[in-house]
Amino acid sequence: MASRGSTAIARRGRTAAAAVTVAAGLLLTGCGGAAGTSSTSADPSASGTNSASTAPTPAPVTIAITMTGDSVSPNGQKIDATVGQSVVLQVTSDIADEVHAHTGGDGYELEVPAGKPTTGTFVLASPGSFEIESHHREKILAILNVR
Amino acid sequence: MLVPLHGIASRHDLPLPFSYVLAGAALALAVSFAVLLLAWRRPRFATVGGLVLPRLTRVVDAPATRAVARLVVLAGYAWAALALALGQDLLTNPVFGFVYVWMWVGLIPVSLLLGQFWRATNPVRTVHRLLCAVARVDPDEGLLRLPAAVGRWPAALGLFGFAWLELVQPDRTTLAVLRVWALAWLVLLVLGAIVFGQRWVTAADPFEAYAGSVAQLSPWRRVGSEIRLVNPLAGLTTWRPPPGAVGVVAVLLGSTAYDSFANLSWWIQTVQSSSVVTVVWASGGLLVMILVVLGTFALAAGWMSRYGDRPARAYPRLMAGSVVPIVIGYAVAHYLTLLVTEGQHTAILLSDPLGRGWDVFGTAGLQVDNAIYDHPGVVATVQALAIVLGHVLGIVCAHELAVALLPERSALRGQWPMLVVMVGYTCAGLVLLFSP
Repeated sequence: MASRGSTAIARRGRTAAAAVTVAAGLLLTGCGGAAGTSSTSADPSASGTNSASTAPTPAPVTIAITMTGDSVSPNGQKIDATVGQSVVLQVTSDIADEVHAHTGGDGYELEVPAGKPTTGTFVLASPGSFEIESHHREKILAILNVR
Repeated sequence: MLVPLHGIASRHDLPLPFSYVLAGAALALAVSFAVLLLAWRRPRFATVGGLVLPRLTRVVDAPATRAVARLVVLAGYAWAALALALGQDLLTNPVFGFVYVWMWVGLIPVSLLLGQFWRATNPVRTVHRLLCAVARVDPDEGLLRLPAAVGRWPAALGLFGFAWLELVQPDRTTLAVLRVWALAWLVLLVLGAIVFGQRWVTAADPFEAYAGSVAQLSPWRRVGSEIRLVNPLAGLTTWRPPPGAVGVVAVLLGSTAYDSFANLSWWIQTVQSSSVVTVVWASGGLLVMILVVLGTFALAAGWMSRYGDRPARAYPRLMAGSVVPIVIGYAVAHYLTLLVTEGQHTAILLSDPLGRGWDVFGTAGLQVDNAIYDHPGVVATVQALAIVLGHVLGIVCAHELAVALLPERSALRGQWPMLVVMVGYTCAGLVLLFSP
C-alpha cells in the first residue's frame, strides 16, 4: 500500500496530466473553430452599373447531365452552391426521363425527351442538402449543398 | 408533389463543417483522457438513490390513469391504421410520417421525458389485454413458458427488420409494402403473446426494446413499486441489461451509422455503377455496420474478463448500457430536423387520413414551419454537441460500470479498450455527418 506522501504526489501528477490534456483539447477545439469560420462562398459577379439595390447575384451553377442506358453522369457528386444562386441543368438522355430536384416544397421537375438535349433552370431559395435524381432510372445524379 | 427517392424527407441537413468534426473529436478525446486519469476509483452509484415520489406513483398507477393512457394511445394507432388500410397511396398519407417519424424518432423524447411510458401504453399489449379479457384468460399466462435466456434477442431481430424496412426496402413509402410489415408486426406480437404470455411482447417488440433502453436515462425510474426521481446516470449504471441488450444497441447504432454512410459520394457511386442490385448492396452495408459495432463492442467488453472474475461473454451484456447515450446522441444528430419538420407535417396530415379533404383536428390548413433549415449553423452545432454529449455520458457510464465490475487496481487497465472503441464510434459519427 502506497504511503500517504507518494499518493499525494501521484495525485498531483495525475491532476497535472489531466489539466494538460483538457487544455490541449480546448486549444485544439479553439484552433478548429477559428479555421472553420472562414467561409467558402461563390464569387459574386459584381455589377458596376447603378441597377437595383439588391446584392450582386452569383453566377449560376451549371450541371451537365448525361444519361446513357443505366449509367448516369454525374453519379452522386456533391456540389456546393449558395442561397439565391440559380442552377442550370443541361440534360441529355437516350430514353425519355425526368430529372427531379428536391429543393423542398414542391421541388423542381424537368421532363427530358429521348435523345434531345434539354435545359432547365431553377433558383435555390433556402439552405439545405438536396438531391437531384433521375426519376426513371432511380439514381441520384448530384447532391446540392446549399449554404 | 415529387416523391423522394429515399424515405419521406426530401430535404436533408447540410454536411457538418470539418472544423466541427475536429473540434468534436478533440473534445471527446480530451474528456475521455480526463475520465481515465481523474475519475473516481470506487463505484459512485452502487444504489440508485433518488427522491421517492409516492403521490406521483399513486397517480400513475391508478387504474383510471392507466386505462385512459392506454386507450388514448390505442386510438392514435387505430387512426393511423385507418389511414394505412383505407387511405390514399400517396406521400400525403399520414401513416408514413406516423411510423417513420413519430414512432421511430418520437420514441426518444417520449422515453427520456416520461420513462417507461411506451411499455405502459404499448398498443399491442392493450390489444392482447382486450383479447384476454374477452376470452377470460390471464394476460401473463400463455401456453408455453418463455425461457429467460431469450431476453431481448427477438426484439433485436425485429429492430434489424425495421431498420431494413426504413433504410433498404424498396417502395417503403407505399401502402402495399407498409401494410404487410405492419400486419406482420401486429400478428407476430399478438400471436406470440397468446402462446408465451405478455412476456413475449417484452422480449420481441422492437419499439418497446428501443424505448426501454432509452428510458434508462430518464429521470423517472421505478424502484420496487415506487417511482423515484433519480440521477439519470445513476439509473443507467444500475440497470441490469437483459440478454440481447447488446444486440439491440448494436442494431440501433449500426443502422443510424449506415443511414449516414449511405450518403457518402463514394458509396452512392459504387452502388449506382454496379450491376449488383441496390437492395443487395444496402442490405450488406447495413449488416456490416451492425456487425462492426457488435464485434468491436464485444471485443472491448470481453477484454475486461482478463481482470474480472466473470467469463468474457458476460461483459458485453453488462456493459451494454454504456452504449445507450451514444445511440441517443447519434439519433438526435441524424433525426432532429426530420422530427421537427416532418413531425409537423405528419401532424398536419393526420387531420385527413383518407385524403378526402377532412380537417378532424383542425390542423389540415397549417403550414410546416421550416425555420430550422434556415439556421444550418445552429443545426450543425446541435448535431456535434449531441454526439459529443452522448460520448461523454457513455464513457462516464462505462467507467462507473468498470469500477463496479473490476477490482480497483485493474479498473483502468480493463476499461481502456472500451474507451478507444467509444472514441472510435464518436469520431466515426462525426466524420459520417461531414459526409464527404
